[in-house]
Amino acid sequence: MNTTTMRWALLAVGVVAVSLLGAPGRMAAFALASTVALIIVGKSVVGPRLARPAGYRDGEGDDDTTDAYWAPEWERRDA
Amino acid sequence: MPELHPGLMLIVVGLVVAVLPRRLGAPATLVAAAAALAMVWGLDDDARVTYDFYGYDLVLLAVDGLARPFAMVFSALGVLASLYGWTLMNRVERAAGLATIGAGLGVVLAGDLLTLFLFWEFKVITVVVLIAARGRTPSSAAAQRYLFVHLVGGLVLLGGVLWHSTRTGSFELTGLELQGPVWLILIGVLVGAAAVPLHAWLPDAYPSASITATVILSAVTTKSAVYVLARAMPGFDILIWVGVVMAVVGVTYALMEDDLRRLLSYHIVSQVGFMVTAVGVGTPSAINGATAHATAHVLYKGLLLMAAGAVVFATGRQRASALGGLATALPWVLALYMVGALSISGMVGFSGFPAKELAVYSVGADGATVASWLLKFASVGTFLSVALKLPALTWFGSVQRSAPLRRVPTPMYAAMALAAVANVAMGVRPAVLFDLLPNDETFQPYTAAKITESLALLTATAVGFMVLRARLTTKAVTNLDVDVLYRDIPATIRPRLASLTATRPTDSLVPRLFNLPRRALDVVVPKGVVAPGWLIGGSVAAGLVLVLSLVVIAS
Repeated sequence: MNTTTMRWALLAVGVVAVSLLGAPGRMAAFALASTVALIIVGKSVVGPRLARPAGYRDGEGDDDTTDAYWAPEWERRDA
Repeated sequence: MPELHPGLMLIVVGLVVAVLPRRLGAPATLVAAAAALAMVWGLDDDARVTYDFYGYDLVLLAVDGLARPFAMVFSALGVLASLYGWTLMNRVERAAGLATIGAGLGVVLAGDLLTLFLFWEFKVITVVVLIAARGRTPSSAAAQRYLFVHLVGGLVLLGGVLWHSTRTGSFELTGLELQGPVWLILIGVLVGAAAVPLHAWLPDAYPSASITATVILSAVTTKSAVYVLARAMPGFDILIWVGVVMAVVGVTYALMEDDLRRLLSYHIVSQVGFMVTAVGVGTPSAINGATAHATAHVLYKGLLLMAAGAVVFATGRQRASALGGLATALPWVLALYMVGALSISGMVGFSGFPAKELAVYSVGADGATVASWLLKFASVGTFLSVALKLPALTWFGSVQRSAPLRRVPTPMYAAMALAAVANVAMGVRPAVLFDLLPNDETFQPYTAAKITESLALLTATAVGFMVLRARLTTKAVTNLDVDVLYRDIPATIRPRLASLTATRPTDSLVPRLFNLPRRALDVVVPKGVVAPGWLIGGSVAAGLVLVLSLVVIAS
């Protein structure tokens, strides 16, 4: 069994185990399951489909090729 | 003695600040914001200011239990932002910032639909100036897009207000029923609330503004809309699901986001979803929940954006993938950020705990069980991305930047510290928050069951994060949202239409006729420097219709 499979198995066992511990346990199990769902759905399923290279919108004057907050001349001035 | 309107005072002072020498601008802005807070604090419950507008009495100011907490927190945030931006803001930003807070106060203190509409639209103009005042090409473009979206939303709102007044002969703010014109009013307000799918303006505009402007925007724009919903449309069932979708979509996008301020902007969409859901439930307890959450949210989101802004200020970078390892260089910013992060996550002892507990509890207590669990699901996502992912990528991990950091000015620390104190005070002593609420309802957040459940939820999320954290690293990408409809699709269509309709002089009449749409498109869609021309043309057209409509009303 590789590391990834072990982690998933550990999470699944964890969800079931804590859900047996009354109301707080069910809340914890819900949170664990939600975390997994968000990471899988958000990062692995939805994310790649919506992601475009940085600078994708350069055509309309947006400079999101860079994350620079300060204007280049200010960056030079402060360097 | 006639009451002085704190919002109008801020707008007038804003005009003065615009021409004051730079060294006087900062103290004048702070004094004006503090004076507005004092004025709101001192307003009587039956305070009322009217103005004769061509024979119609505009109710410029009407105070009650719902308006007061929104007005209080808007003006309090004005003080914090003035302090935070002491050394940062330029003259235009100070003026537009004061006017934006003034317009927000105008909205929440308005006593009728027409006054509300006038302040609402004035706020659009001040916000556009505030965003563009940063003076960079992306901020000008984002301001243009903001103007377009909100003028269209304003037109829909105006249509609803006029239609409603024609039907009922009244501009009353309360007692609306969801039919005909009220649908238009609802849609117009939901644009301002950034309801999905009308939300893309928010993560577009906020991170494009300067770091101080974003703090002001986060307090006033969406919360004004939440106030209008709570005032005029409590108990509209559709809002329950509008809010739930906002809460879930917001956290999902935030989880994918790499840009610090864009991530936090998506969380505004998500948190406003909690408030909209509670307004949709509409019980006195739920309206209290929405108000408490809005009040706490202004303070903790303001703190988060101030801390993220301090990182951006110090490093000049706003993508998490370009940061890392800042814990030793900016430890106090980290500590203050974490107060905001634990507050938004609903951690016991911080302002988000009583506020969120009340909002979610009131939703579940009314029988909307599925909605309340989906809000808890969104809470997991909030803790995951704001309190775990973002600090891990920004303050811990490997250092991505070798350039020296700028020193964060003392006023920025002072503003963040004040916001942190307010968040802890509300968390430790919920009466500070609950005493402001409009309805006389009892709610005890600090019970063993609620504390245990909250801690179980957050602990289990942290465990999930530790196991799966490798999957949460971010890359410098652009995530598409529904703004493709007005940003990307027209740009894609234009060359295709041009090639389809290209004609030669020798072509017969029919291809020439086909050429007409391309020529029309060339007129309205020139490739502008700051935005596609159709946005500019559309905004001008929408603005003209708005002005003409107001002239018709006035006459």
